[in-house]
Amino acid sequence: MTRQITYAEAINEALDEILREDESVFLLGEDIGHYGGVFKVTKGLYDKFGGERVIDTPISESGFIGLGIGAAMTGLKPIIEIMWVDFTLVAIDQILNQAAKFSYMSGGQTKVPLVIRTQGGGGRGNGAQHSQSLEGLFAQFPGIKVVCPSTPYDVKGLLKSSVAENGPVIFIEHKMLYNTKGEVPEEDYSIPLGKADIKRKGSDVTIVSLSRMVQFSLDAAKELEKEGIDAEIIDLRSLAPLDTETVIESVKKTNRLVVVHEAHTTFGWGAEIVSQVQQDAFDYLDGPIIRVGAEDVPIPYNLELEKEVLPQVKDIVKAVKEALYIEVK
Amino acid sequence: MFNLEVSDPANLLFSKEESLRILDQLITIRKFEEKSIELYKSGLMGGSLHGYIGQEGVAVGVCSQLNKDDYLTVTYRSRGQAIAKGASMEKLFAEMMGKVDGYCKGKGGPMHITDLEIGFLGANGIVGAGIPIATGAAFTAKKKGTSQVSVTFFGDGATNQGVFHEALNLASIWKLPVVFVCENNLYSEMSPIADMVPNEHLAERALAYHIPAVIVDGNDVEAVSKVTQEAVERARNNGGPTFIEAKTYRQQGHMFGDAETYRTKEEVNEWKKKDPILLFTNKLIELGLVTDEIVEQLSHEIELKVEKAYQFALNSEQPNYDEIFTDVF
Amino acid sequence: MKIPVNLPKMGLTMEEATIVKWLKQAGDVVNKNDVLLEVETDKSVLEIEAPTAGTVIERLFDEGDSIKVSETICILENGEKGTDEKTTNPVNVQDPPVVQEESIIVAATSSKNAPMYPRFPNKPVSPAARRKAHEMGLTAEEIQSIKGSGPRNRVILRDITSYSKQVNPVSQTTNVEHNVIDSNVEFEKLTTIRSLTAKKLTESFRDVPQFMIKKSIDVTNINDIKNKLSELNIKISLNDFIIQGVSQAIQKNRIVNNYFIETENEMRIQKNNKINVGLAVAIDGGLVVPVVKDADQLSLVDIARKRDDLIQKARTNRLTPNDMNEGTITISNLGAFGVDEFNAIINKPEAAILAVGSVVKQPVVNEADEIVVKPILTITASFDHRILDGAVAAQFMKDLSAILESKDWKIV
Repeated sequence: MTRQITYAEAINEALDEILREDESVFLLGEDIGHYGGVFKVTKGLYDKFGGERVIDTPISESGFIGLGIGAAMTGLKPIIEIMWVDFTLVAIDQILNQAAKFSYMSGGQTKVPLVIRTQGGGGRGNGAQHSQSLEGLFAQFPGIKVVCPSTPYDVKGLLKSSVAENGPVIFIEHKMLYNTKGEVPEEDYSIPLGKADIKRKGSDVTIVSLSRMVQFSLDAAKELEKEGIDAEIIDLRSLAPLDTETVIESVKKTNRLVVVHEAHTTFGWGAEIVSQVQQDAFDYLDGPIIRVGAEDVPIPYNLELEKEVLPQVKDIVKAVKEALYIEVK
Repeated sequence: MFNLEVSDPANLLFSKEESLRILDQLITIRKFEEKSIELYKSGLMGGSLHGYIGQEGVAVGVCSQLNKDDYLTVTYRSRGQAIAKGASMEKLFAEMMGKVDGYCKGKGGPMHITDLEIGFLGANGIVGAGIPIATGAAFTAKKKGTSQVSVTFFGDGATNQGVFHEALNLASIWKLPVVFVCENNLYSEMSPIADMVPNEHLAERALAYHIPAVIVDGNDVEAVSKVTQEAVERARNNGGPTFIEAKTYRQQGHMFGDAETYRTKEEVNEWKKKDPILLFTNKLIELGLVTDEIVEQLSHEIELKVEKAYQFALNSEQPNYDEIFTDVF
Repeated sequence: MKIPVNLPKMGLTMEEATIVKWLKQAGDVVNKNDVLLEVETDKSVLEIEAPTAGTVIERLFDEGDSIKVSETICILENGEKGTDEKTTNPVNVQDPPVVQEESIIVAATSSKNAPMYPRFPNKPVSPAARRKAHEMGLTAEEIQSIKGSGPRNRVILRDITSYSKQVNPVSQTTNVEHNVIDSNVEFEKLTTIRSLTAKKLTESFRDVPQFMIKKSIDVTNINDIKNKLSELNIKISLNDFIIQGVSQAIQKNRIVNNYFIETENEMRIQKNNKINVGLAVAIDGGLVVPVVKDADQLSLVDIARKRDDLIQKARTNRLTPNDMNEGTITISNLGAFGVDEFNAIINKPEAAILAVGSVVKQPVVNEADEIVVKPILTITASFDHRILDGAVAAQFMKDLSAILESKDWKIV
């Protein structure tokens, strides 16, 4: 049996290997050195690679992301950790006006091979400014790739590919996944960006999700199985590039679709999936597509309220039943 | 606290040959800027035209101390520095006209001029955004142990941006080889900078970050060159950043067509008497290096070069529609 | 610029067509309106013309392939600069609107995999169910009869599949029995016309309660007139007389000109004002019914010219949808095959069809009680009992007989 490690360990291992293999790579972020990161993802790397490669920054997201862009443009490969995805909003000009546009604006002269590692999502009572799911925001901007891994295996393979990119990537981990375990092979591997993964084969309904919601969808599928409903779970793994083909193929088979994300429902990326599916697979749809997302309120602090606001397994089960006309609104 | 650095009126900083080259550059930028106004008026370019007339002394003075591989980031008022750093006028005009032979294949425009071959990392449309990026390039230079210097030009208004302060702090704590060149032309877009900062000298701000700072007469090309020389030396010798505040004046509005209600004609005319080209030409005449006729002759030759570059751009093709979808990532 | 050539909708009910013959190869240079290919629809063979001059750069289908309406059949290159595929061309904004409209239609109707499946107003059917029903060849009536299990009784995929399970076992056993008779049997795919004919006639035979009335008619007068006109080099056929005769008889019995219309929750009679007489013509691959319109307004000469034209077109597969629509009664004449008499199946939604046998010389007792030999024609008419009853039909046949036996004809 392949060894089991946690999601955080898988990232740490990927960073370790990348730092070892590529001299031009360095890590930059708040409290990632001595301290090892607030979620201990970079634990031990400072001791191994030293302060020249694993660099603690001031609390200055715009400044050090800008610095990372300049370094990336001139031949280095920064991997920047932004402690919480919510803090990217502090540096949004540097990420979206600068990093994402330089290649295009310069007619392809300037490349910004920069990976911004961060973590998002709710589930541990961090409140409204530390629990958001902002992947859809970034996916709206051409010029930056958006990766949201759901398993230890994926997170390692996708991080490897992200660092190999010749342009900016925002790599959004999930705080609630750091301690989840999964099989990760010892040998080196990478997973190409933009390829969705079918996490469970099924014939009755397609559930599309990513990040933590993949596990929720798998749990929902187990419950649905008891009622004789066979769900297919697609993990998009990245929003940019977006693998609609896998989704369309699945919908052509199941004729029903539920899109699940932890981001707020209204204007969430689920709407984009819905739009593409209705356009390219209209004649295969046997019922309306159902979306499951967070309620349209800031994420509340109280754990019970937070749970109510964020999608849960039962919400996915209910949505599938709606999609299958078992429960009609 | 500060002494305004000026040149010695009785002696030349440069050799005769170098002085003539400096004069050539000053006049070239002026003629290019004048032709740009014609270009803008003919409706051959989009967006806005942010002119550099009156500030040529800063660009030429600073760049006289830089090597080809030194890095530069600048603002949208960018063609002066580009020419001083060695950019092609043909490609500049072509980019302004959105043509295929432009620096960015017509996809960037005047606000995004980039020429990696001369270390010109990019003009920027966002006030202050290039400052941390230049700091990042300095980071690369330091990390790789090259003796390259990174210079960032920005206006007085940019010193109120967050990234300005963040970048200064980063450069200071990491002793990066960067020269911050603040072109204080007295106006932060359409507002007097005096209304927007409490400091008499913007250079004061650098002191808060323990960065050596000087103020210099920006219309005195020799003085600018001299202070830059010191800054560059410090940077190349691992002495960290320097802040130069060049006091100058924007003889035109923020952009072509600006109603300039924020200042009087008298004020503009007063400053025109301190025009950098006028000052330097007079000095050269007084010291017997050139005559009016020689300057006249030089101006005429430059006009022909500018016209030739302009014609080249006019005859350049429109970019192919395929270009729309290239260089995105 | 690449110009897609799409299958135009050339009749109200047209949904698809089969390519009969390509007349242009890839690489051929064509003028505007040159015929690129011929396609066969359920009703006729149509010519698809080049919308613009240019070069055929790609043929997307082969002969025998069936194409949906609005689907792109081939692509022309007109040599002009412009937008190809995805690239948007600002210059195009000033292009003639024609080009724009074309590209809009293409975008709207042939996006990747979007054939147009029939829609059912007043009957909610999910997109997937519509597609499945179409694939299974379910008729509109069948779909109307299915009770939907989705919200608001929407017909969904499972309703279509369970419907087909009810229907299929029978046909499957039938197929099995027939299949094993001889392993050397050959199979032939039905032509569009053949399968349409089969479908329509099955419906009629199943749905229409038909009754027949037979009448023997003395055509002595018709023969006389025919011969006289023939001497004048005017060729009028027996069918032309019948067409005129039928239209006259209908004028006296308008009810025979009605349609019987059946929708989901209503049956109604449609009273047609025009009298349009269809003539069944056998051609290779099936039966077509070109229509002589406003037959009651036409002289024999007019009818002959029209009929001749229609038959000519039918034999060369050149009938247009317009040549075949709006018939209100049909005549089927098998006289040429020496058939004495026969029954025909009503051409829905018409009220009647006349089966015309051959003219046979027969001994007849005349008014003077003499036995004389007369040329006798037997017409057997089938009527839709839902529209009319026996007495009305009998009166119609009586009137028809009188007209056909008379000397009173509108010749020119």
